[in-house]
Amino acid sequence: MTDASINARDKSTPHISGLTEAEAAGIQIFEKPAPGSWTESFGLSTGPVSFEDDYDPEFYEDEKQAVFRRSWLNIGRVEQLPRNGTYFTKELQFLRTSVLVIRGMDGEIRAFHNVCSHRGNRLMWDENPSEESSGSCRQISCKYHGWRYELDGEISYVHNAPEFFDLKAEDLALPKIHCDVWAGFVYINLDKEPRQTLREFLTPTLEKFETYPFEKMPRVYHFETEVEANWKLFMDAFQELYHVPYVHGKVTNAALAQTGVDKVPQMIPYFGAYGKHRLMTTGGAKANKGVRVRRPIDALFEANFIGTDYTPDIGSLGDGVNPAGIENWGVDSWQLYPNSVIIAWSSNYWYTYHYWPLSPTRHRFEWTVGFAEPTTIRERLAQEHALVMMREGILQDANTLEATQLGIMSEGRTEFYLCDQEVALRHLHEVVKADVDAYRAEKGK
Amino acid sequence: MRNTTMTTEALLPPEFADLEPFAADWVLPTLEERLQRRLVTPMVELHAFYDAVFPRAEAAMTYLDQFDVNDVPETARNLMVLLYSLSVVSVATEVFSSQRDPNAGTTWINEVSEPAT
Repeated sequence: MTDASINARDKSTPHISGLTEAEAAGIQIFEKPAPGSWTESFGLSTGPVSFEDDYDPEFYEDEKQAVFRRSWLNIGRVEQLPRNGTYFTKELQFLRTSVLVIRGMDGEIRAFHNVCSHRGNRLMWDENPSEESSGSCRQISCKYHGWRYELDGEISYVHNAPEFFDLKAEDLALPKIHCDVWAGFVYINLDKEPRQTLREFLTPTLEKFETYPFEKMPRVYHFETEVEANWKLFMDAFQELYHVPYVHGKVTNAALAQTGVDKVPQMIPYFGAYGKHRLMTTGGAKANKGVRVRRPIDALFEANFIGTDYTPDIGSLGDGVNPAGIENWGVDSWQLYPNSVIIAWSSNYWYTYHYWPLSPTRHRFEWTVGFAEPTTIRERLAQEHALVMMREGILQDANTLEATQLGIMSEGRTEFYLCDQEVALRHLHEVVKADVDAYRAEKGK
Repeated sequence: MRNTTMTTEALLPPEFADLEPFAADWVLPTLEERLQRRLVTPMVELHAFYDAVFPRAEAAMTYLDQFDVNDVPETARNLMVLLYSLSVVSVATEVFSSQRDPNAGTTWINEVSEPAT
């Protein structure tokens, strides 16, 4: 049904008004794949969805096992392990797991359960055993009774060893966790035997993205917060742009002055499903006029909430960006299953987001930004202003989540309606549900 | 002759002495500290800062042009950081008319780390 025919309906019956003429004139339309929608091209239903997977405690428990204990998880970057003997810990409290990642004397990166073989004490921590720590060491030693391990996890010293019974070195090594590195990202897999290698899991298209020059954009800012919402709801917030004219109205409303239309819908030129992952490619700064904001401060610093105006020269971007070959490529937003996002911007900076569950209705959100080294003070100022504005935008995205969580949990309604621009979030929830269903079937639930 | 007046070391280059009254409060080393300062500063003071610093910003950037980004003398660095604060303050004065997004509730995003320089 066309919008016009909807609007023409008798006002005495329920009806939907969709687009004003001015809004419609501002839209940039992109061709959709056969059979006519992104959603159907993903092989997904177009019907209403349930969001019970975002609060049900039983679902949450099964999701931990089915999704987080079976998938490759990105827990850090190689820059956190610059030299042999450097380490960091990652606290996955929802899985009751502390991961110790360490670069051995041979340069290898390994991951272990951060637990002493003697009495189970947590090994590496600073002031508080439940907080993450990092540093460098020659051996891994336990604060409790002084047992020590080599950086490859082998036992090296047991205090007053003759007092023990039948100690065998081979029984005492630290329990290993499967660990691999892709594009400088450190991944672990908590499964006994991973069902796929990391590269199989990532699919060939993502494998190519390994050539993206993250190392040329080493100025890294890191932000964290806890949000009172299921982890998937924040994933959802960043895998559609349908919300932009409303959630970010105050940041983007220069569109009103510059285009004459306040709420121009944002359309996505390309969505793709790659295994359990998704790609959303857009024009970014080269997209429609609605995002080309120029407040006085943006003009001064030559930057705004989607980045700096200038593009640093960092050489080749590798052969993994813009796999769909869209015109005016601006941004690749990779939604990596289950809980991380990598965004590569055409003005040559990158983001990652990570979403770590804390409870069925709470998660920890981590945002990392990497810029190129500035060559002038003006470039440095542009980066700072972009960062400030991006942070405000992300804060706006976080703000809506608590309200969404409350609404969903009220069960005031149980069916919700997604549009074609929301295909990526529909895909995430479907993939998670499929993994949970498979797990439940295995367990005879 | 004995100088009887109290002198304090200027934070900013002499060319920007007019901005010196803002330096003590706003030359703060990290983004998180600048954001926290915005939260606790009344709007009337944020406007005063913006109205004083914004018109001088282009001159400040022109002054800073003479320095290598990796070798900035201390007073010039302070001036640069004052411009970082201008960016932070502009969010209150240009966007939200409030120290923070009025729709933010209690949501906050903590800056945990930033590059050393």
